[in-house]
Amino acid sequence: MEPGAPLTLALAGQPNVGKSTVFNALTGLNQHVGNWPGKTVEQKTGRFEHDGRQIYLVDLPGTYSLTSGSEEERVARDYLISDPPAAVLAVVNASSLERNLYLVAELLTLPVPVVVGLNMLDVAEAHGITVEAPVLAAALGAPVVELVASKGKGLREFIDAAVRLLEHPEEFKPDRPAIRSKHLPVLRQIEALIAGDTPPGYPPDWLALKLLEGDGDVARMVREHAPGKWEAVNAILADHEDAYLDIAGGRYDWVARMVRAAVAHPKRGVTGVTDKVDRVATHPVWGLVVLIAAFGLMFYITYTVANPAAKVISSLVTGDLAGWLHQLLAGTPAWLSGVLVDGVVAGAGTVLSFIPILVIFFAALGLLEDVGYMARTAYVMDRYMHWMGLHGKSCMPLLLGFGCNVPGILGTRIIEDRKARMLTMMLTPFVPCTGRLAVLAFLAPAFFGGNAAWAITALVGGNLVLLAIVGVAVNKAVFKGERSAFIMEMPLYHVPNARTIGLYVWRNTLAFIRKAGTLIVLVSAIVWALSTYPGGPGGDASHSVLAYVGRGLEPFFALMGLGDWRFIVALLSSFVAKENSVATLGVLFGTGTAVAGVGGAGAYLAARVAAVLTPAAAAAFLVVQMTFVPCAATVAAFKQESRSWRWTGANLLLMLVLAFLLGIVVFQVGRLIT
Amino acid sequence: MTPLTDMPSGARGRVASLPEQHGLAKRMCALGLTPGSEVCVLQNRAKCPLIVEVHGARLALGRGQADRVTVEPVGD
Repeated sequence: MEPGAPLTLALAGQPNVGKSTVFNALTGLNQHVGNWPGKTVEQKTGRFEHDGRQIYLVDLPGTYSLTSGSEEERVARDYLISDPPAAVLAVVNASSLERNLYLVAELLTLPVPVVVGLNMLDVAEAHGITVEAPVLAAALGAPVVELVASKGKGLREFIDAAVRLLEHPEEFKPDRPAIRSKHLPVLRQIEALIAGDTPPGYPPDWLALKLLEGDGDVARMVREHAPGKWEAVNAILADHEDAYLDIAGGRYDWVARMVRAAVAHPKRGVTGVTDKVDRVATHPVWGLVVLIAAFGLMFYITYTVANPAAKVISSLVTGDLAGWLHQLLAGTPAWLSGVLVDGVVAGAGTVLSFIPILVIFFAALGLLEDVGYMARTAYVMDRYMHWMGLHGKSCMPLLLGFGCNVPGILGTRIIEDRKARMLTMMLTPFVPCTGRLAVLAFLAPAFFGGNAAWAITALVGGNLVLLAIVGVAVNKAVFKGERSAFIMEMPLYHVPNARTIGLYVWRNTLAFIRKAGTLIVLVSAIVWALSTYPGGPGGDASHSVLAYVGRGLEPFFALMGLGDWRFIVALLSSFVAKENSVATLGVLFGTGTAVAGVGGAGAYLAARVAAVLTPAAAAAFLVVQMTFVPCAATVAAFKQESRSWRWTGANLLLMLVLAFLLGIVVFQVGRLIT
Repeated sequence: MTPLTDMPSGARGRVASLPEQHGLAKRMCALGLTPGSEVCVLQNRAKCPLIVEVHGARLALGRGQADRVTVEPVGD
């Protein structure tokens, strides 16, 4: 290896090993998040300097194995073979070393050197487990470095070990796991059969092993590369369908050999922290109480702390900044100051006022995740999710949806089963996101006065009931009530890491601003233009493109008591971003520059809007607003993740029809009783 | 040989067989539930998923899945 030359290293590890903590500690903010080419799997890369050498770090998806069960595994495997890094940094969790070394067993069969990072030694110690790193290193025949990534300990040594390994490749003498003797002859037979006819870059022994393991991807690859030999290979495989059990068993035999000397477990009967907490947290009754309390507190803090902050930001942007800009633009054409002040700045104010809410929400969620509690929410909710043919894992994306539906949709990636994943994606847009909650919180007091809190609770509860009903119905109608499998790791509890949570908040908030921000600002400008022309700035908004469209729809919306084009346009603009409804009402009700929802002039707008609607129509408007089609960003995420226009279209149509039906019912019934 | 779901909290056993379904069995293997592995049932309450410890890690396992894993109970 050339001294000082840049190096590419890959970071591998199972979920819950602190891999992202290692990645964040090494790369800091020098990271790039994108997708693996042509895949929906997230790819994180980063760079840093080590002893004057540039290191590129590729974060592989966290997977339990490399046996092509999921797209993540395929991505990790294909990368390691087709574009191999100089070395793999394998992070393992010392508190569950046996299971963690399973992935190392698979990594060692690939033609890439491996350095093992023994992380979470503090968690292991807290649970009475001790691991001797030198003994483990001797057994593995590969370097083992002790890490406490949450405190930044051992990271230098981790990279040092990789560099040293590359400078002295002869020192890497891994004890590779062998297949159990029962299947060894078959393995050799397959290997001999495909030898000389294998796809370039793939070692024949590895291919043979994967074929025997029933790896569909590898089978396809070999079949396409050597169609003449496939029949013979397939015949052997058909006779050894159960070989994968033996191969996995063989890897665990190997793991047992590795850890025998290196790991000391606590005596039986010793209860660790996790057991004590889980006595409550996974109890059928208390567990649910803890969950409701945790999320109740989270929402309470989010709205009590974030709302005042949002108001400050909003009044700064839409008040001070807008006023200043207005003065600055005095003398320029009216359309310019119109589009900038009433369009762009108003839109930006809406986006920025969401940031405090999202930051606190993601911080709370990141904390629960980092402590290890999120897996418990899935466990506790599992029995209730069964009503919809789902299981506990679907709970997490739905909870994420409260912040913003987009991360909720992306969060469904943790669900392995496609059917369960599609159903969870269908349900996520029913979760009222911060955008919709903000509109609700803004308009409900004006509409219902002292009963606003009840109205908000009823509307949010209504959405969740609707979610459950749709879940049960879609499961029965489309999936015939079939249930999917629930298998999930329950990580040990551990002390949260501020850096990990901070970066989680940073990344998610930034993603929201990028995705939603640009869209909202752009559309605010467009809505302003459409609501201004052909009348022109300063003219009457009722002579505008939007007004004509809205008026055309008035007869239909009149069924919901919304026969006023301004409400129709407000709902239509919520397709772009839910919180746009308020901004649009602001523009259309002509409250000038102070249009962005929570600002001081907001109360004036709310009162003007409330004066136009009867109570029944106001209720109908909010119901439709809460269940109307998902916003554009959510639809885009839905399409990207489902890779199906049919499912995306079905979701749009379902929500549209339900929103109108409910709106009509609420208005017609409400009219009778008020 | 008994289904895992019949094992009370605190019981230990050795995995005898996995579900027929290959995809499911493979996922179980990757998480440590291979035939011959020793499992300890940490929690088995009616209607709740099981929590088991296997190869030094904790897994939550839906009742429908745990029902199709058979074990050979081992005494203490």
